[in-house]
Amino acid sequence: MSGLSENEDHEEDGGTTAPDHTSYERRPEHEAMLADVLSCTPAQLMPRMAVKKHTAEGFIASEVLVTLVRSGFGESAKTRKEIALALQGRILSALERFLRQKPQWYGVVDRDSEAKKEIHQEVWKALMDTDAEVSFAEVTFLEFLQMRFLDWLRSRTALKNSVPSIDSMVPPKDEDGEPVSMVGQIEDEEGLTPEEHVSLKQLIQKSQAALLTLPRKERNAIYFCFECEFTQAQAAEFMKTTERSVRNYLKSGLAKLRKGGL
Amino acid sequence: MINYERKAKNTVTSLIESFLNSNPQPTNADWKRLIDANPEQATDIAEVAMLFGDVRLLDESAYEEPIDEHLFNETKSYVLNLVSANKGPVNEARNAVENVKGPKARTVARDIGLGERVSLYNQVVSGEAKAPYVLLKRLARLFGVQLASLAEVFSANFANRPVPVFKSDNKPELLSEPMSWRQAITAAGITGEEAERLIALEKELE
Repeated sequence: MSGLSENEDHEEDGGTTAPDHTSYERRPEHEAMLADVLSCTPAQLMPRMAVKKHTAEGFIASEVLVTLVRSGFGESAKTRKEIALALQGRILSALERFLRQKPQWYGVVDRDSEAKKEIHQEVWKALMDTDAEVSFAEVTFLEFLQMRFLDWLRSRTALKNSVPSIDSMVPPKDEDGEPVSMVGQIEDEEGLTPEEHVSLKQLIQKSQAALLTLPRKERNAIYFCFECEFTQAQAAEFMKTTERSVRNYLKSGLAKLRKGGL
Repeated sequence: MINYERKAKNTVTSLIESFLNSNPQPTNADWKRLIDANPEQATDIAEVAMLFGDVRLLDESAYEEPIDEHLFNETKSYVLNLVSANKGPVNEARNAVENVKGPKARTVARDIGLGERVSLYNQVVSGEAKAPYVLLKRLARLFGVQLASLAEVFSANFANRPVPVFKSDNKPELLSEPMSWRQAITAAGITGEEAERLIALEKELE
């Protein structure tokens, strides 16, 4: 795997990110499959586009399909179209599976909403908007998909969390200028008690989904201190804030998780 | 989003993708190490780590999941427009190939392991001979283009090759499909060790 390279700046164009240049080494099994596919005629290739079962003969790995799509390979418009649609089908299938396995996201992705369409478009943009010789999607497509699904869901969760709640309509600010919830304003010179620490850790283990509903600073503080077991001082450094703020974020996060009935 | 924010986002994405490439099923300890090594990106890494959890959710059986046909049809034109607009990689490959003429072709033939067999290089470029994968790979690296785009250019060159003028006493011989690599070597009269070495390129992936 190559090192990371610099990304170019691009003009403001409504949220489009700059192309990614990070290049990877193709996996040997994908390399062999790509060699095989490139030696095929379109007539040999077309039936293989319909093979969905990954253990079936003729199945073409998605990583290879991505290479073909990115490279404009296909010999004819018809073949290029079939390759693209085969990949599209896989993206949609994987999205269905992802949502089925993580049902908590159904709160964010309404079955009848435009959300799935948006996720799908984000995936395609990310697939094509790269200058890398070999992109991440060509190395490990399912990880790439999960990252893109999660990126989209994360942006939606952030939007959701940015809507002010009743108890913080006029929020006080912390030293970073960030609003502090009511619970966060409680004085806490001593930090969390050992009981609180254990209690919060148990809460977090119970539900990752609940953690994601917390404001960013609270969930970050909890993640650093409880999931990764960094010290509050380290967490403060990561979050570019003070230890006291970290303690407040932890305290308010705990209160909200408890209030959530967990 | 302003430029530096985008740049930061891409840096984190690249960082995490590289990490996931090396750790397909990362544990909390793996994420912790990543955060430790990249304190400046700690909060962004934490965000992804929380979402990702420590379980790989998808495997290839996900492709067998029934799809929403309505959604498939609704998104089809978006995909096809995106794909048909993607001319850049093939154009880049075509330009790179067209820039290699005359003595340059001899140098390129040597660089990719064809020795003095510049005629084989020309046959590959014209699409008359199917290039072994390893030659595509070496050429792609040399030209700085996508290897599958090169294969596409060679196929197009073959499809668009000029048809020889028909003469009543001398019928033109037009290949209906590219020669195999082995046929091209035989047709070029290459024998012995050199032929063996060139034929063996078909088995190499490098």
